[in-house]
Amino acid sequence: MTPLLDVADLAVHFPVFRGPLRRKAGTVRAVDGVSLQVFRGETLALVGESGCGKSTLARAVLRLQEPSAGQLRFEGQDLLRLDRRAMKAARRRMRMVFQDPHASLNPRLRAGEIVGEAFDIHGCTRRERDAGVAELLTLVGLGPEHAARFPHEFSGGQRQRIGIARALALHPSLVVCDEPVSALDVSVQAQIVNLLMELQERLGLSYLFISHDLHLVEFIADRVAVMYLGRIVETAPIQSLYAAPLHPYTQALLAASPSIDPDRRHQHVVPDGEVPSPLSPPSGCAFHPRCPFAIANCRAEMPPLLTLAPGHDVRCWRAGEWAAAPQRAAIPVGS
Amino acid sequence: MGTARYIARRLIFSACLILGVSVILFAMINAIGNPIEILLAERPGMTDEVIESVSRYYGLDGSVTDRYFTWLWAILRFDFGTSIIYNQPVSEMLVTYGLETLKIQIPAILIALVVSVLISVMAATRQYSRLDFGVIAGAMLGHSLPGFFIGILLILVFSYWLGILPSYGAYSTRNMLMNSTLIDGLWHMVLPVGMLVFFNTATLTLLMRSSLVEVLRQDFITAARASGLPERRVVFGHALRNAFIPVLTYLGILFGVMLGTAPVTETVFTWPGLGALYIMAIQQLDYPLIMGETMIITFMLVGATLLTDIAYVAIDPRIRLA
Amino acid sequence: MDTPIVPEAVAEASIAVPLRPPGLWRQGWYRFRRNRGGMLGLGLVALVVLVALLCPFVAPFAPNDQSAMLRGAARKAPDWVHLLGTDRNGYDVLTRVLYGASTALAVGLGAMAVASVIGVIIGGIAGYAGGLTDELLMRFAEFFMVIPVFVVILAVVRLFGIVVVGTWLESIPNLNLMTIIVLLGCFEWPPIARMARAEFLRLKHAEFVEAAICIGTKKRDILLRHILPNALPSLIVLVALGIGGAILAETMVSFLGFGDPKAVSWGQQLHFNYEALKVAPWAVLSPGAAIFVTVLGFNLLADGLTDAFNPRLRR
Repeated sequence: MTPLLDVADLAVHFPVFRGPLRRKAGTVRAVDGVSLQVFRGETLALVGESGCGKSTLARAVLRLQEPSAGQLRFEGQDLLRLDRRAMKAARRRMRMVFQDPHASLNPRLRAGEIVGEAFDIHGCTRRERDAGVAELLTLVGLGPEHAARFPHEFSGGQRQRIGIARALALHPSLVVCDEPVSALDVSVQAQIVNLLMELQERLGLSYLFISHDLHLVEFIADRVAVMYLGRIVETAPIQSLYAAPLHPYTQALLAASPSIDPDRRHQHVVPDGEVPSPLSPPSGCAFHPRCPFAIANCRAEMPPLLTLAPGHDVRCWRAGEWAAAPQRAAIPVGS
Repeated sequence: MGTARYIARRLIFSACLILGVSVILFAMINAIGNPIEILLAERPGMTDEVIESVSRYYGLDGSVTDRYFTWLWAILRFDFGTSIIYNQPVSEMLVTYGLETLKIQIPAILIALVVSVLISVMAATRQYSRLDFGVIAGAMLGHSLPGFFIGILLILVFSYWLGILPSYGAYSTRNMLMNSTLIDGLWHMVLPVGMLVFFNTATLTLLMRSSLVEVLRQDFITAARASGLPERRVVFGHALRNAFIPVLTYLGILFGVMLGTAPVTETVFTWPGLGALYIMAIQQLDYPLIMGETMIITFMLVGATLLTDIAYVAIDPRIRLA
Repeated sequence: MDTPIVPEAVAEASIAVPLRPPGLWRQGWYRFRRNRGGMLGLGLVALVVLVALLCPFVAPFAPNDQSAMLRGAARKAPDWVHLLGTDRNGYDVLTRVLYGASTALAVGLGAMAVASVIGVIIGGIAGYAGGLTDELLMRFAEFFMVIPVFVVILAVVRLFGIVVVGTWLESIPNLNLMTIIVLLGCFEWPPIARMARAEFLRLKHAEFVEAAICIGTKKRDILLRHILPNALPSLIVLVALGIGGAILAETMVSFLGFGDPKAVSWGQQLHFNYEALKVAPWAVLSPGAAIFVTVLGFNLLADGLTDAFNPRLRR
């Protein structure tokens, strides 16, 4: 089966300029050789700490940020080779739901105008637009009568519903959700997540779901990709990732997120130290300075992405050991 | 070492600014029309021979770019040509009249600075008091009073009604006050300087007060107070220095405004300075004088900005990296 | 009735529906209303606008009525016929002051309209394009900041006045005043450009702009529909300040005798009557006071608007 979205070796590098003459002082490798696939109807969650490059990756997928290298195929088309017209057509099929519903809605436009903008752009008549707006607002749990209101008249959760309605205009196949609930009250988060899952079922959507919250991801995702300093370190189906995380970083993330499960509660492997600067990433495996299991090889050479089980890829030199003895995988207690 | 480089950079940038302005000015003046035609438009009855000799004399023959570079080269040697109406070297006139202008502007800005510091300290240390509101309201009113209107009011009151101060000129033509050139000169300066002080004080007070209020609320002031420093030391020693930084930028701008509107000030008081000379020059279409004056005023403006930039570094060492 | 499909939304919606929270402009107005200075400024500006619109109906005399001169009643002190007296040309001072309001407003609004267009275009391009374009445009703006504007305007108005003699340009009514307006606009744009640049720079990475790019919005719509309307509040403050400044500048140009002889302006009044200050001070004081009131009005208005739109900036 060909994936809906196929990202291959994608890189986004930002040059850093310093001094009065704007000399190039270095490069931030925000995204560095990432490959991932999103299949039709599934949810791929992209997980990582803030600053790991997951939002940059999302923006690059939608070409809000030009990638420096790599390939981007969407519905079989090479997105990076499309001319403006074809790109505009492709934008009908891929959308984004943003993190902050207060910043992502233009305060000067009415909800109907925000949701209906896509209809105007892609050449629909006024009547089609109005009907579409009414349908979309109903779909996300608001009513057609909300179309005449301005964003400030809505609560945070309602605004995010408008953001979702905007993303769903003209039936896209892929929706990139960039931490869609992290700016919302906890009580509202569940509603929005439920809405997203319900919409996926009803409309056959595919999600690239970006989050730092592993519990949320466990709830919504089919597969998970874990990102650290611009690279994917582990990709796995949801069950195997939670049952047997193979990368020490994933283990640490799982242990660090608060859990009500008493069996998991003691295993605190908070990674020591800060996330290294992406301007000068550590040699070898980028995680080695914080990794309790680092061996000499980790410092020297970047591990390749190894497939240890069907659909389960890990970028770790010692992954084989963890896979062989899954029981001792998450026991760095006291270290 | 950082300071020296910073100053050098600002110097180079200032030179570029002046050069750029000279290009814009020259282009604009020439875009309006042929100088020689404009010059002669209001002096009818000239023969072609005269026109030709006049244009050769003032270097107005030749292409625009040629003239620009001749002019620029002359300016670099502080040679602005010869005034058409006064038949004197423009550079000499600029110095004589320029000194008269600075004679009222520099004292005015210094006095305004001292007065506004005193007023704003009084207001800011008693924030939201009646005095504070009075100061804000007064400064806002003063800030909106056109400078020349202040001058007119001053003349009306002190020269015409009270009859104690002269309304025009920089010196008495016949009887010097107390037979002293110095005292007579100072006596004539009172009204023009008074007007400029009034105008500048209002603006500076508005700025200084809000800046001071901001600073007085910061933690290091509380810390200074807590350490038992007398309030006067806290305000004048610690707060003022920090409150002064935003005011400093404005000082350069204010000087620019004063210089730019010197024609108005000096017309009100019939003051023999650059501004009055400029009015004369454009009324009589004295090209060398117009260009020379505009350049010298630009030069002084850029110089004032440069000085404030350097003073910035002296007061606030953090700026250096900018 | 709204009948949402997702039941949770009912609770959420029912909270927000009855009270419509105020919008950006309305919030600004609430804050503005509490600012006594701003309200006073608004009142003064409204007064000037009203006078400018109604002057043909409320002015006691025609603006070019010099009949007092023939009666030997020039330079007459205020009385019941001439409430503010007459000037040395026999004009009724009050009439001329009232008519001057429309000239002043035309100058202020006209100049700032020109300045806003130039400033928003230059600043907008600089902020949105960034990089070298930004650098070049902002350096260009800096040149305009150090040009002694007032002095240059005097010279250009004077020289231009000579050049147009005998050309079609001469037939334009109030050409001199137009020149002053356009010149003021051409020199007062840099502050607006700077602000526009900062706002465009801030807004081009706003999430709602990226959302618009995502659905395929054209660049023109991004700029005009999404960015510009959100940059307006900050720009309006500068425009209000600039109107007062432009009015003052025109007054000074006219006061020096380079104004439009055909226009009825406060600066002209000052120019013609300044020499008679000693004998007829009312003819100078009245237009002076009118300028003061107008400039004060716009300054206070700008102050209030700053408070209303950028509440964090002050106090």
